[in-house]
Amino acid sequence: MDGLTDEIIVSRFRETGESVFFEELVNRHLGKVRGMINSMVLNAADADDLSQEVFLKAYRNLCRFKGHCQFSTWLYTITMNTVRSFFRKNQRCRVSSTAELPERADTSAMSWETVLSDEMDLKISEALKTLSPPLRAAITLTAIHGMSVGEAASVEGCLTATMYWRVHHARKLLKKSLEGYLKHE
Amino acid sequence: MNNTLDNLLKGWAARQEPGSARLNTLAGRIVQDAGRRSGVIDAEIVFTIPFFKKLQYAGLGAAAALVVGVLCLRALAPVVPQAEGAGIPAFAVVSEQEVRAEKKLFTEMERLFSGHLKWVVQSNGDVGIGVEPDGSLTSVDISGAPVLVRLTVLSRKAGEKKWRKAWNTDVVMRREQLAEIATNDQSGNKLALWVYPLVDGKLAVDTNISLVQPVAIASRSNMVVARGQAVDIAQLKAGNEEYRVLQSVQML
Repeated sequence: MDGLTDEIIVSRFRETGESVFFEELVNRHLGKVRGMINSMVLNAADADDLSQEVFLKAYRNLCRFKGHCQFSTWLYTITMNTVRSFFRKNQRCRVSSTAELPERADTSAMSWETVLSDEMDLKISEALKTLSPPLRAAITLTAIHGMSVGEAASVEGCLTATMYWRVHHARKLLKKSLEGYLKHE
Repeated sequence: MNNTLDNLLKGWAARQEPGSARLNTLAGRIVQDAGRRSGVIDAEIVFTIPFFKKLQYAGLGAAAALVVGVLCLRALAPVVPQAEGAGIPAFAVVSEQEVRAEKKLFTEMERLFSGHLKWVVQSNGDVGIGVEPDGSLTSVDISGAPVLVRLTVLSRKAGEKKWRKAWNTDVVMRREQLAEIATNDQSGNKLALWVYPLVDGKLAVDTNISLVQPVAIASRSNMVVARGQAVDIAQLKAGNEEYRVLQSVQML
C-alpha cells in the first residue's frame, strides 16, 4: 500500500469495509497524532487514550470525509478538537500532574548527559504547561510538527492572521521561559 | 534564534515518543477497538460550518436600532470633566456603565449575526461592524470573551495644560483575534488590534495604528497592561500642537 495516497486508502476502505485499509491509516498517522496530543496534554497515558479516541472518531466518520481537504488535515482537526474536549471535561488548561520523563529502553546507569537532558525536558514541559491551549496548539503544530501557519490555522479553525499572532506570542513566551537553554545552544 | 527554539522543541518531542513496541501495541488496540464498533455517527465532530451568504435586511435594521439605542445610552452618561496636566483624562478610561452597555451591544449583535460577528467599532459617533462573510469562524473563534479597546487622541497647544479630546474610537472585538479595521467615520484611520488575556489577569495587547485624522500618526506597540489601565502609545508634536494617543483595554 506504499504507493497509495491516504485519500485512495479511505476510498478503498469505504468501498470494501476491510479493516486492513483502516489499519494502514493508523500505522501512517498514529505517531504524529499521538505526538500532537502529547505536546498538548503532556501526559503519556492520556496521550495514548486520546489517540485511541481520535482514531475511533475517524473510523466512525470516514463516510463523512468528502475529500474537501487532505485526509491528514481532517485527522489533525479531529485530534485538536478531541484535545479541546478533553480540557473542557477536565476543567483544566494545564496538566495537573507532573510532566513525565520519557520511557527509556536503556536501563543502564544514567550518565551526566542524560541527567541534564531530563532536566531540560522537564523545563520544556513546564514551559509548555504555562501556555494557554490555543498558544500551545499554535507552537505544537508549527514549531514541533512543521505545519505552515496556514495549515495550522485550518486545523485549529481560526484565521491565518490569528494563528500568526498566536505563534508569535507563544514563541515570545517560550523564549523567555527557556532563555538559559537557548543561550547555551 | 528561531531555529534554535524549533530545534529545542523538536528534540524534546522526539524524546517523548514511545518506543516502537508501545506504539505497535497502541495501534493494535485501536484497530481492534474500531472493529468492535460500527455504524455510529459521532455527533461531536462539527467539521463543516454553515455559510453566511447574505445579510438579512431585518437583521440589519434591528442591529441599527440596537446601536442607536446604545449610543443614546452613552450620550446620556454623565460628562466627566477633563483632567489637567499630564494626567489621564477620565473619558479615556472605560467606565463600568460603558462596560455593561458595550457587552450588551456585542451580545445582541452576535445573536443577530449568528456568531459571525468579528468586531464593532464606534468612532466619533459613527458605527461600523465587521462580519465574517464566508462562515469560516468556528467554535474556537467565537468562544473567546469580547474585549473593548478604547483609543483616544488628545491634543493641546504648546504651553497649555489641558488636553482636549481630538478623536476617539471604541472597538469591541474577540480576544485572540486579529481585528483589522478601517474606522467608519470618513477619517481614513486604520487599526490592527490583538488582545490576549494573561494568566495573572493582565492583558497582552498588540496595537498598530495608522491615523490620518486628526493628525497623521502611525504607531506600533506591544505591551502588557492592567485591565482598564490607560497608557500612552504614541506622542507627537506638529507645529504648535501636541498630540497623545491613549489606549485602554477592558474585558467585557
